[in-house]
Amino acid sequence: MLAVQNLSVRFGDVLALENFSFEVGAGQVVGIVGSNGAGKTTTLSAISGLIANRAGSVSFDGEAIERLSTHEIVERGLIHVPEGRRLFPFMTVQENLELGAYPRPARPKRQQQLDFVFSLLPKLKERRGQQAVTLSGGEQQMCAIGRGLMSCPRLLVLDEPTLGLAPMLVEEVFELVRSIRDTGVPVLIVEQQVVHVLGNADFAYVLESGACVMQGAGKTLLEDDGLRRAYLGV
Amino acid sequence: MTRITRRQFMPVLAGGMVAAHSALSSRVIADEGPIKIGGIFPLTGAGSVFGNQNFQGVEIAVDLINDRGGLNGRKIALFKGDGHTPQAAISETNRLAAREGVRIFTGSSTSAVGMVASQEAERNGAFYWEGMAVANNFTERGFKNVFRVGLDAGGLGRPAPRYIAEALSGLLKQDPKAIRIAVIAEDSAFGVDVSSAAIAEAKALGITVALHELYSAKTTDLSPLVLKLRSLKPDAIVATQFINDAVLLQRQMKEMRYRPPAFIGTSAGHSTLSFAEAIGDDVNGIFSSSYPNDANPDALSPATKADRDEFLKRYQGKYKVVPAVQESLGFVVGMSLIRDVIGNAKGGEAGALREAALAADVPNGAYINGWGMKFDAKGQNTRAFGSVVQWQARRMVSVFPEANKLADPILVPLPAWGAR
Amino acid sequence: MEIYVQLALSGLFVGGIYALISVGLTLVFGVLRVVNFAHGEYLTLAMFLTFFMYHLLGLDPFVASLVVVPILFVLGLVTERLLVRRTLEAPHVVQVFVTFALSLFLQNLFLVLFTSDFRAVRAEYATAAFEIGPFYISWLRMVAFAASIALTVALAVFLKYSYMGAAIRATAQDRRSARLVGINVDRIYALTFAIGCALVGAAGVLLAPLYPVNPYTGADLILVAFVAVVLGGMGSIAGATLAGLLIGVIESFSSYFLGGEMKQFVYFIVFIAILAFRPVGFFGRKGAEVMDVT
Repeated sequence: MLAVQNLSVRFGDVLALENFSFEVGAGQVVGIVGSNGAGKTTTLSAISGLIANRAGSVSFDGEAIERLSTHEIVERGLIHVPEGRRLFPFMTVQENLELGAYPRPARPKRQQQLDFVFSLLPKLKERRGQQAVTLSGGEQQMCAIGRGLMSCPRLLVLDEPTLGLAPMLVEEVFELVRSIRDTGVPVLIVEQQVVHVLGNADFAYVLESGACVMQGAGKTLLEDDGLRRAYLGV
Repeated sequence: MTRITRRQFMPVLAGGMVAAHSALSSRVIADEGPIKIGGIFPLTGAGSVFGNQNFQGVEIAVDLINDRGGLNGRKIALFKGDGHTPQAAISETNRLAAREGVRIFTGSSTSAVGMVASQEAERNGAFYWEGMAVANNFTERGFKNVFRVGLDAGGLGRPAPRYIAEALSGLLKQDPKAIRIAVIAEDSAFGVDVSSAAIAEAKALGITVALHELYSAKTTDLSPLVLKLRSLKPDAIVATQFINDAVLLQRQMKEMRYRPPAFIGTSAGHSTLSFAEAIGDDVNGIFSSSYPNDANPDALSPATKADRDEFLKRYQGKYKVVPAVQESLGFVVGMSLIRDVIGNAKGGEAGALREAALAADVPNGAYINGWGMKFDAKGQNTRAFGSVVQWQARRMVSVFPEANKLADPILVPLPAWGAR
Repeated sequence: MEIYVQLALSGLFVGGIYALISVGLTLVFGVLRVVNFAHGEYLTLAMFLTFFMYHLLGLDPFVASLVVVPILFVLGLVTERLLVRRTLEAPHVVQVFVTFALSLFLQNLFLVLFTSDFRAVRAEYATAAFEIGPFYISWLRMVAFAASIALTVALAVFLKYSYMGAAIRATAQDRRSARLVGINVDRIYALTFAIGCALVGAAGVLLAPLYPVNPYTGADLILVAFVAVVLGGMGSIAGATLAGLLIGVIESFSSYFLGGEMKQFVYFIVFIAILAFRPVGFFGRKGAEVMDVT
């Protein structure tokens, strides 16, 4: 589905990401974990075209997309839900969701997707007329993911979806991730919540200072002593 | 379109040629080569309509004198300084003085520019000759080598009430003492000074001033003023306006179906061709108390008559339009300075020019607008007088004073809009 | 009583045009975060174009608008592409220099091309008016007002209910998220700038028969628009419209009751007073910037 080869990103003199290669297969949940500043968000911004100064190759569904601009990548179905929710604050929940259906391929299915998102996230239906800025953190996150789903994703990319959420809500987010995967949409998820990600991911990569230091099936990594010491403090 | 381009480019071209010519000869010692005159006018920017018109008039005078052989064989070189703001006027005056060695300046078409240009000229020990700036305190600053051949604000404003008292009251079948006027003006120093002079004169003549209203010339709506005028019903309106606000007022009076029995502008906006172009035949009947546009040829000396014909011919040949008030004033500024001051001075320095100016005793009728020249101790020309013109068949015709009168006033009281 | 109504009408009519000029300015600011100091020169240009089409081709201003407004739209696209886009990521001071320089450049270009003479479109109906009871209403001013309000409403409807409009609002609120929902943000910038120019072009067409134009006319009028934009809340179309109308009415009343030279003074006093109590303007939200352009 998504194959990334030797992705490097440089900000001025700083090499933020160096030769990172990873893959997301059909029907998979893939995690990228690492501490703050490890290069996780940079990786996602680079594949979705938000960062122009990048090297390496990105192929999506067999097509090289590293030279495309963001809106062209989005039209191909690679949907990136950014860190910090980033809703359109002064639009209603429904307007936010409807903008998710902005890409041309998604437009004809707008109503159908809206019904789907409302059935998946009934809370959003209750709040549909409310301005996004007035939602709670968890609701905003659900709305952001819902907006991503509105774009008819062929791959959903989630950047720190649980940041700042209460533990109960974190569990809810991962439940949602699983149900998205069950509809056939692969999910690439970037997180600091290492245990949760590794527990849910079919495959995972560990980033440290811009380089991949470890990779493997989620459950395998979870049992690795080095990783447990570094990220779980045990 | 051709006319526009040419109007714009001809002075640039001419100025450039003059400048190039002078640059070549600037190393020649002072008493040889051309006599240099710096013209500080707003040539770009908000005041540039009048600035260009004045400059063009001066330029025609320079060309005419040069074509007649110059002064004692020496040509006149006119340098252009764009005083589009007072700051620019300061730097242009200093530039011409320092770089080009200009010792004689003229200007300026707006008081804001004239005040500082003359100050810088004086500071440089140069001689300054003002035409159109009317600020009352222009000659009150104790400068030695600064002269104004044109009018002060009073000279521009006073003829309006005087004409109302002497001529219009009779046509309006009113006793002068029973006349009520409204005085309106844009709120820069020009409007304030001129309208105040008009008011003082009106009061001295026993005319009642029912309204004195100031407004910004940049306004887009004068209908509140029209409403006020409508309820006051003055016998005449005396207005000091620039072009766009003058046009706006006429249009809004027409919109609101209001017309005063008589309307007298005080130069600026009401003496320009753009004003007539903008309102069409409705301009007919409107008066403007102003610099004399056209003297009665019978009141001019034969030599002046020849000057006048030359000026009209050359101006129309060059710019394809009939010159109006500011252009002919520029010509008078140039002729008086070059022929009657520089030409009679014993040297090219400011002191000698000052003596020549103070000694000048040029009778009325010596300049194409009917003026003469005699300075008071402060450097104000006492033989400059204002006149009143009236738009008749969309041309400005002098109606006052007697020496300048070319036709009788018509359309008093003003007929309805669209019937003029 | 009659006088109050007449003054309110005059004020609203002028205010409608102020609103239309301000709306384009505030829209561009709201979406691109660029204050376009050359906005007034586009107004001047539209007035000149209208004038020349009237005098050289005999086109009525209302017919000319069909040509002038698209020309301004295209010029907006070109300006955005050649100048504004290069400054979007630059510091604000660079944007100010660029648009201010453009303003001076255009002023001087007009001066060379058209001279500083005032030019007035002298349409037959320029001074036509009708009476309703004791009131005199200028056709042209009323039409200009109605057209201004109609255009502003049309813009608001377009922003609210079309995909493109939603994309413009989304870009105003969050550029990064806008990209991530597949909006071609560069195209939105160009389109928004062009819409801003087209709106001020429409204002120019409406003003041309009312008011003589010279190269500085736009610069003179744009001050009111800046006040309206800040007063309404920078980036707010509803705010700019309301503020434009309010300034028109304040000018009208203050020049009747206090004198014409007082009207700027009065609306600046109101401006300062309102900002003292509500620093973000009528519809301002965050700092001095609104994030929803409607």
